Amino acid sequence: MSVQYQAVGWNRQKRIYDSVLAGGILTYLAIFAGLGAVLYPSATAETLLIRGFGTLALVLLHIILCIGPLCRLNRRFLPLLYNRRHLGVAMFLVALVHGVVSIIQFHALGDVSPLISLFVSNTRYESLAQFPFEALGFAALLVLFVMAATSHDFWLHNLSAPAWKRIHMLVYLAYAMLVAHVMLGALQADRNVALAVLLGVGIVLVSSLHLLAGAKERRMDREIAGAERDGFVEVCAVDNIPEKRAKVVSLGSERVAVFRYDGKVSAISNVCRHQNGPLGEGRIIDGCVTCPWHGYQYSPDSGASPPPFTDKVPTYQTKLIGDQVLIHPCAHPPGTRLKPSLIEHVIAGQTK
Amino acid sequence: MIQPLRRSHLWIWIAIAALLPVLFTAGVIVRRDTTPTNPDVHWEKLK
Repeated sequence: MSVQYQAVGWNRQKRIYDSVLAGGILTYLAIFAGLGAVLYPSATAETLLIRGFGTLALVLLHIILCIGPLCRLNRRFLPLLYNRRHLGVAMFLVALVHGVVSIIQFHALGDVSPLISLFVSNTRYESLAQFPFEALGFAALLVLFVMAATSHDFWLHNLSAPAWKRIHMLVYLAYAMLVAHVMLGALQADRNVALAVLLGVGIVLVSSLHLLAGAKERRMDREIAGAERDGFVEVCAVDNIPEKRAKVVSLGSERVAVFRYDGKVSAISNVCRHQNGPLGEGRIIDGCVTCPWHGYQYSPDSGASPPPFTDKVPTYQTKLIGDQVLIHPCAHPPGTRLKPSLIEHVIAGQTK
Repeated sequence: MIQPLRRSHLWIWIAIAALLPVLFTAGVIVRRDTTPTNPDVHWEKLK
């Protein structure tokens, strides 16, 4: 979280994340080149380079696509989400090396422009076995470029989180095109069973995780809040909300996070302004609701970020009747301070 | 606010989960043997 835009707001976690990433990339390439040279002594350096970077980009893309649903299914994976954009940009650069070297190797030695040659050297679009798979890879690379170029918080804030998310959902299209690129390209020319099996496992793994996470979210959206009393709806008993944590409740198409802290109850929108992270899955740190994704903070009673930050989320009026927590379904404008409901007062009143 | 995004996300993955296995199976079925007719002749040896 930073007031000004910086190329990268480095901190210890990001340095560790990026060091592990760079180490992993170099290790993979070294192992691939070493094993390739031993197992396929007739393979040229260019071939090893193209295949090494190509398979690495595919592996990284699978990892990236698994992180989101894994975090929705289990909070222990959240540290992987923190710096996922660096992983995405690294994957794009690896894919770019694969693409550029491939174009130089296969399309730069004729009398036609390499980029034109890429699209006109093979036009057998009607054949599955001899499909011009290079075009699919090129299109996927363009999508990945758009995503890498707009990955910075500058674009996130200026495009708004929902629009930015829509653009970045194009990664699913890029994934489908890359699978087709490999399936109709490398797997047609090379009858290696291992590559086919690994790709099949990757498709099943990524698809299953996304469907499982999607089904879980759908169940949450369908959970209807409790009975209505005087315009307020029941959420749960106050004891069911852990201290400094929240209970998330769906109100129509909105999710609201009801926090319990220091003998008080407040409710704010569950959607973080930064990347739409689930605030209700975070906790209160230093008096502020802290988003579990990237640490953006909001005051639980006003929904406003502490100065000098200016982000704000909508707030909801709460009420305690007996031990039941109720909230009013109408959102107050972002940053509206509302009086929290006092738990001690209710308990004291009951015991009199 | 983001429920429509969640809904689109789920439908996209239902489509991908249905489409990619079909493409994968079709791709495996049409794989051709790229071994040269005469396995003793290989272009890499002629360099």
